[in-house]
Amino acid sequence: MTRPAAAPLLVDDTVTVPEPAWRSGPPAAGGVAGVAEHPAGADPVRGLVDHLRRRHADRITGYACLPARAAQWADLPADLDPRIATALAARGITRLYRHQQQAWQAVTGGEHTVVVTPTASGKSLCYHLPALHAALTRGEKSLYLFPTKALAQDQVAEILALTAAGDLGIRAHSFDGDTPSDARAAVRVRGDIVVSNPDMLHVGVLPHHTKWAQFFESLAYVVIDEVHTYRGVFGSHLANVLRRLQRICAFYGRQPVFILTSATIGNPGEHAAQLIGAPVRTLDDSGAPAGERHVLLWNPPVVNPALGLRASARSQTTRIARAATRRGLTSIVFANTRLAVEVLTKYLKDTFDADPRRRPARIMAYRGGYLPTQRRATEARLRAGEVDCVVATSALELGVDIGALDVCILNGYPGSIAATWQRLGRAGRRTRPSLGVLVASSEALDQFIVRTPDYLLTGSPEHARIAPDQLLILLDHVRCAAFELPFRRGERFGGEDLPALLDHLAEQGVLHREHDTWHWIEDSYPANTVSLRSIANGNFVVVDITDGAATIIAEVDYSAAATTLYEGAIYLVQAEPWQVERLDWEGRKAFVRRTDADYYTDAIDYTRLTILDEFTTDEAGAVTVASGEVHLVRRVPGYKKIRYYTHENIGYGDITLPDQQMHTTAVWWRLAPAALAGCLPDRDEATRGLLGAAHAMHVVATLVTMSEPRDLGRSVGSPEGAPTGREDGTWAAAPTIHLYDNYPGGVGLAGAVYERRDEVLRGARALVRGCSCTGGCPSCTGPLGDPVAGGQLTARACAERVLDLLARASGVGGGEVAMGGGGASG
Amino acid sequence: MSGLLGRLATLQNDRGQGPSPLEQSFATTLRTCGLRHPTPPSDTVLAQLCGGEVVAPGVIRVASHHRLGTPRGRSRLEPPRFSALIRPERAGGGAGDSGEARGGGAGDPGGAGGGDAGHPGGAGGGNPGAPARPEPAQVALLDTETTGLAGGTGTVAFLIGVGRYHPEGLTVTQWLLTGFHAEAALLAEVTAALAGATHLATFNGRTFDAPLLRTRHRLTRVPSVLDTLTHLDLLHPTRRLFRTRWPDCRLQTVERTLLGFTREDDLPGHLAPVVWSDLLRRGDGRRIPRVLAHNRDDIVTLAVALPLVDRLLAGEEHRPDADARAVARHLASRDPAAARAYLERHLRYLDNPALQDLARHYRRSGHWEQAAAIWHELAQDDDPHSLAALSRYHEHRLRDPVAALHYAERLGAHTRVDPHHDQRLRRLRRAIGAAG
Repeated sequence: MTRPAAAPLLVDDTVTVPEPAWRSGPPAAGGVAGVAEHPAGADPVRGLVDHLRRRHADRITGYACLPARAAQWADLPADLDPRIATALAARGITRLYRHQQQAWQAVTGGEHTVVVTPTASGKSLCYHLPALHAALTRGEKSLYLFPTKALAQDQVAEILALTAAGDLGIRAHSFDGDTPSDARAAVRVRGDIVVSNPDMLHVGVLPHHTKWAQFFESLAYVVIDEVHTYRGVFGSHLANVLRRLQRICAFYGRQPVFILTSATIGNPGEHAAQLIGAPVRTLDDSGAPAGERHVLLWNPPVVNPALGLRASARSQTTRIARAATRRGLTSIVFANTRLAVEVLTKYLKDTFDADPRRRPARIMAYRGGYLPTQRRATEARLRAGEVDCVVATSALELGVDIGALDVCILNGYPGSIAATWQRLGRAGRRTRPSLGVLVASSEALDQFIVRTPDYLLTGSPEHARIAPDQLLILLDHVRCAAFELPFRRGERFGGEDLPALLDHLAEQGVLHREHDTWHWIEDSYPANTVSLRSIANGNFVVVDITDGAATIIAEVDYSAAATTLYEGAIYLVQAEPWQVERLDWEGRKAFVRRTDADYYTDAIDYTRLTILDEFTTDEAGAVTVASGEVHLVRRVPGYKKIRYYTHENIGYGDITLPDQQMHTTAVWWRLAPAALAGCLPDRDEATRGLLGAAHAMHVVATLVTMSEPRDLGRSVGSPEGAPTGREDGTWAAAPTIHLYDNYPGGVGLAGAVYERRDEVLRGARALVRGCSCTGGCPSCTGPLGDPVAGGQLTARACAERVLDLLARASGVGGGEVAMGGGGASG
Repeated sequence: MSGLLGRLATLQNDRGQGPSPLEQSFATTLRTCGLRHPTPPSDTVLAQLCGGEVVAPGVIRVASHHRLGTPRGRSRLEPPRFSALIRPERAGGGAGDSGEARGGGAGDPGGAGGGDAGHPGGAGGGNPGAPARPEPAQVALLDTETTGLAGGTGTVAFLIGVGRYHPEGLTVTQWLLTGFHAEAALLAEVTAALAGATHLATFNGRTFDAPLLRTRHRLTRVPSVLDTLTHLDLLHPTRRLFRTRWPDCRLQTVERTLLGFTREDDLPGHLAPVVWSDLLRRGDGRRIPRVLAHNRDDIVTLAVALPLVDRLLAGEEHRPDADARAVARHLASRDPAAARAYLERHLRYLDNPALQDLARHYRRSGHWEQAAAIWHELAQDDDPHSLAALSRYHEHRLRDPVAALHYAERLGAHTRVDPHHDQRLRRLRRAIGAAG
């Protein structure tokens, strides 16, 4: 195969990929030439790529080959303590990548700095060097924050290895919920580098800052890794925790320098600055070498053109993973849900671990909810190269060290471009080619991504959004901050009217105002009631009661409990099924027993929405668009039993669980009943039209606001929450499509959707019109269930009419279908 | 209501955080009915109400004197004693006389001042130079009333009481905060009042009062002397003695059970935060004197209980509800003979585990017959440990395999107490077979 010399390689219907955004700067000179040096096929990864492209050209909607990239070196900084240089040399490091050296200069110059470079580019040295240097030469301390405990433990091990290599005597400790209480005092007093997580800082450190006085009095650096993960609610909370941290540091007379790292997002500098509330220097030009990388976008074949049904992503993912494993390549498969991880693991184990006498297993699953010991064991086996294929959730997306793998397969679009590239980055060695495959599911968002390849391959990644002044979040942290130190008049904390909030808390009896100072007076520990990650707190434990034992086998997040731990649910661990016998909702326990069911279960949930307050309204004839406050009640009434492999529905079960409530912000389109009846007189058709339109609008709103699909919710009904229509076909109240911010209180997404409502409508029309199905499918109008009776309009036609009605009323042009960013095709 | 607070109220209500309608209407009633005192009492007025004096803006001092010999329930106030609560030396081990010996302090880093966590008195965390057995005047008693039990930086000690001994008795001095602004002044007063002390005695102060005060000193930047004092927390020896016998080991339980004293009209400790909050928020100081009385009562009870607990732990006295095993274990760490003598002296109070302990003491000191007598007694009720002991005793000591087998077979179902049970059975049967 001959390839053009200068531009990356384009064959068939694939797209041009100049230099992808995530690796900015001039193209590496040696990159493409490097490709030509090796004939295709000599390398097993290239062999697999060629095989897949030959055999499945019809399924590959996009292909890019990102050339290998040479390292950009820099000397060790002259002012670096020589003992550290010795330690580095002992670890085989005698020079730095350019971005590491740049980070040293910025940080030691006192600038807050964010380092934005790909996976495995040596980011951690950017903060280890200043931290070790400060500890060695000035006895100063550093605080590292990682989003997960696993990452924290990795880092402690890395620092200890480095300090042992140079006999530096630096004490690095993790400090989290697992730290034994008798070790905590030693960590506080003697740790040079304390590695923790935002939750622990929030609950365990700041409210006890006096115990950490020595630490804060000499705190030089605060390291925050993977800041792109701190988005939405979590990010908004973290920004406030950092406000508190800076307030405490000021009390002890310190102003630590922040060192942040991020995967590639559109606005790392802006995001980092918003998190820490100060200007940040951005370093985004990686000097690390990278091997050649192949990326395939894969759309499963259409199996039912009438319904637009495609083969499942699972079947395709399994096929590709098998091909990789058979060729002796190591691979990682990312799935978006725990259930998908278990199902895929089972399929792959059925092929490669079928013989129980052959141990250890070649296929492993890895996801949150497994016990830490299980996870550590899997990580160790991965590092040792003993596992051929690991199936994981996002739990492995971040920098947990698992060694280098050859192939990465994404079973479904992870929901954001940053996550996509970060997951793909788990495969890739510095000197050898690697392959990443994104297998689209039938989800509309996935279909949009694989049908418009440039969106992913050349489009700029999304922007991280946080709302640090979200009122409930801000108030939570004003309370926590007041507990930590009294507030004085003139102090600043967030962008709202602080004295008004403080007086409000005083009115509630939480604070006491004395002259110009507000003191905490309530008998409570506010941080305990504020969860940074989810609004409700209290994880559920899964207790195995098989054989009369009572062993905890997993933990489940509160928000996931209602849909995974209902009585009758099949709960999977390493693809082994347990059945939930009893759920103790108050006690947060699910009792499960081993089973050999040949099916899995999937919960059905309904949402009821009530509008409380309208902020802004745009009334245009038959349609009113508005945004405001809404109240949601989520109910999980039952579940489906689905047989493995055939995926047929083999039964239903009831679920009795308390309703879950949420208050949030939403944007909604309210249609005049007469206008809707004018274009869709039939009630069924009108309902299908509304549901289909809402689905398409939801998909596009996700893209437009650059959020993840679960960040937004949708609901179709009348404003009062009554059923969509009456039996006689008239409407009880104006039929309405709602898109809501899927977090209590909202984090500003609904407002963003409202502002870009015309773009949402335009995109939704393009999505529905451009779909390859005939009558509506999961990729455009969403799954609309029952087949259409004779003579009725298809769901797609109904949705198109509703969208046309909305567009006409809003004055959105009907001709063009171009989307912001990518441009719809397909 | 401003726009900001209106937004907040809606959000909070929906998140299930807002007050219930009932609470809300109650709160409104409270606000509108004017329960809020228009003018809070001045420090001077409050000091009069409490029988104290204003020593700094926002700090009221109240002192009370308690003569030695003053009765409290069945007991009386007496000087503190530390024969068991503080060990004179530890590194020396062994046969220490526990008498009046003092000293060993300065030259002995392993002494009581060194923070010996295993010590029954829980004494530690202080000055290694402190005398192991302080004079009464070197002892300070301390108790605080706080705005809550939550801990962390948001809890304030609004009332601190310190008890100091003098030849005639005990003086309890209390400092009350009437506003947050005066906290530094209050802490400075308390620090001055601790001058001359080498030892600090509290009840549950190790985990509560001391860390809390340390935090307050850090926040106000008033230097603290607490860390120079050897801390003796009476809760720990009390737990040792009574944990298995009393429903709980709170100070009020000590007072009722050990002292036989019941307070009249006591303000429960958990209401103290409310009383202080009433003073600050509503200007209502009417219940402040009751908080002062509660705090004073706690300190006096601590003073009376301290020698009682010390005598019990030293084995000089005994109560039926005290755990004789705990005392014996404490004594045994210094002098096994004393522990045995103690158990013998209180034989009628001993339960089966304590009798086991006594038998073990006998066995170790070679008093086999006394040990066997206890085992026989307990074996009547099929006590597995005694059966195992008898089997071993008959096999190895008396060389009587038949009797040994008899006890081993009776043990039967309880093989867990004897890991070598099966081997023993085989061995004994073989021995009997060979002999027969």
